[in-house]
Amino acid sequence: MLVLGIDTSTKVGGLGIFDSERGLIGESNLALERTHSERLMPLLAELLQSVDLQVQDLDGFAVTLGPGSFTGTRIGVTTAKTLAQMTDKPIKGVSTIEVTAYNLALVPELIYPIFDARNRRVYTGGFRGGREGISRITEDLGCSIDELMDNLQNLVEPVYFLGDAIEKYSQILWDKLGSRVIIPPAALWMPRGGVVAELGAKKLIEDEADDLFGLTPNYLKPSQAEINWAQKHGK
Amino acid sequence: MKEIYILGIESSCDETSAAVVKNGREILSNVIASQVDWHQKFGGVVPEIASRKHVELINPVLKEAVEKAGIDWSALAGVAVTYGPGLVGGLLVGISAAKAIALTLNIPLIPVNHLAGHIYANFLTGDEINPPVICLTVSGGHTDLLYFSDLGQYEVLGRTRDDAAGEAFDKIARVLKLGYPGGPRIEKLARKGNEFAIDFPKPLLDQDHYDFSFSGLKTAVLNYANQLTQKGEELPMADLAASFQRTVADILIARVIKAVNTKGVKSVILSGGVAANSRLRELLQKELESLNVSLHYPPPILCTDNGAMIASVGYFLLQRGEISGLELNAVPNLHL
Ligand SMILES: [Zn+2]
Repeated sequence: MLVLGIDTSTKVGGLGIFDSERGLIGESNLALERTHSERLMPLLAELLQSVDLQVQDLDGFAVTLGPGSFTGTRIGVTTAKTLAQMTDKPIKGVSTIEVTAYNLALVPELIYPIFDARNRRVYTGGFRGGREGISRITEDLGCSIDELMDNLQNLVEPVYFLGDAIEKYSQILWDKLGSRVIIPPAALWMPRGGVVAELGAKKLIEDEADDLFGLTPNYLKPSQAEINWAQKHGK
Repeated sequence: MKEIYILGIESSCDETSAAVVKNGREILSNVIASQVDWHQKFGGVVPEIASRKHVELINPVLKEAVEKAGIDWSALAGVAVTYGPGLVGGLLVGISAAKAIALTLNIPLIPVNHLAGHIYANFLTGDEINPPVICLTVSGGHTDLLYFSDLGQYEVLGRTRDDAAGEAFDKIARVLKLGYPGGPRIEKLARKGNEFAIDFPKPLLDQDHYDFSFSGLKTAVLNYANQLTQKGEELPMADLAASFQRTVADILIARVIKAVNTKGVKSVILSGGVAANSRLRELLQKELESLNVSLHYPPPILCTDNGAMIASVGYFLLQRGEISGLELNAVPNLHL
């Protein structure tokens, strides 16, 4: 089964093509200044050409649903959904946090990707690695870095951090968790297109395809306008 | 003659739409999913909510558009998409879908200016319109006065310096607690009122250029309402609506007549959501008749944002080879 993975939920634009027989056959991960809308599709056309495939040759699609940049995620999700619609092939949405944690799949400790959500907030989620791969220990969530630290202070194990918020909050991590903080090499911090494709392929093979028309980004919360309206009307 | 089918995609504001148009003029399908219900309680379009809805609606709308047209995807010769002006989040959803279609089918991606779409909506009605024409596009998003002589040949004569005309309608309706969208509600209420009951200012009308300004008028209406409320008096709702509507109409019509006289055209095109206002049409028609100039406006379904008008422009652009690479980006403040 040939699966294309798409990730545009962070500043990295990631693409990967995973073949369930041959493994990862092509990947592209670029963090550039140009917007996802300008670079995603030219990169996809280029990647397909490099591996000598056409859209019609693909057997399924996987895409990150976030949490992450709203606009970025919408570009990836709309692109993947439309490709799946055009080719009549299955689609699977995966979590940006899970895809990132997968970079440390074999580490038998706590893994917490943290992505900057502005205003001292992060998108995060807890995972544990091991011989069987990663298992999820919390839902994906948006919270302040302080709340996350409070929760992690209750534990005693080492915590591996990943994600683009590491640099911004490294001082807080060290202050609150001390030597329990482990920061892997930077090349492992961000989500990768190849992982999106591999995770998607695994789930699609297990027959866990999503409903094409029902698939939406995981924003984690209603829009600000809806939150304000609910507050004003006491709901 | 070979038949050319173009798919048009529109997602610049609060309608998600896709359409198939044959040979630039024959509408085979024009599916419009309006988001009005989701924005209603906020009294206007909320960009983040609009973007979220576009993601949910675009794929079912595409499916329906192609099915209703009775063609296969493979019959499409090109995919045209609005790339501006509009709300960036919404535009990007339409553009992303259009690119995925263009790549899969290996057909040209045709970027279309939304305002050109509103002009071309008039060529989808079967009316015989011979350019050059003066075109007034008024909606919640724009107030643009154009001189149009040929595809791609637009001269922007004037545009609004602050609020769009439709935006003023929405804001006044919100203050009068009439609900959203404001245009149809004010129009309905105005039928029972006296247009000359209250004298509102007509900003910029004495100026030499063609630009519009509606924020001053909006403020004047709000001040008027506030003063009465403070005095504990009841608002003359119908008179207020009628006088406001008449003032907007007078401002718009004065500009159109000036442009008609200066440019010496024989036809005027009215487009955009506010073009559906029957009082505006009536008053403009009367003025133009005395000058022996014809007035054209599309049926209501083509006045709102729709994919068919985008597909129509796309057809003519494709004839001229004006297509884009896959790097196309949204241009929220795109001009003609
Ligand atoms: Zn419009």
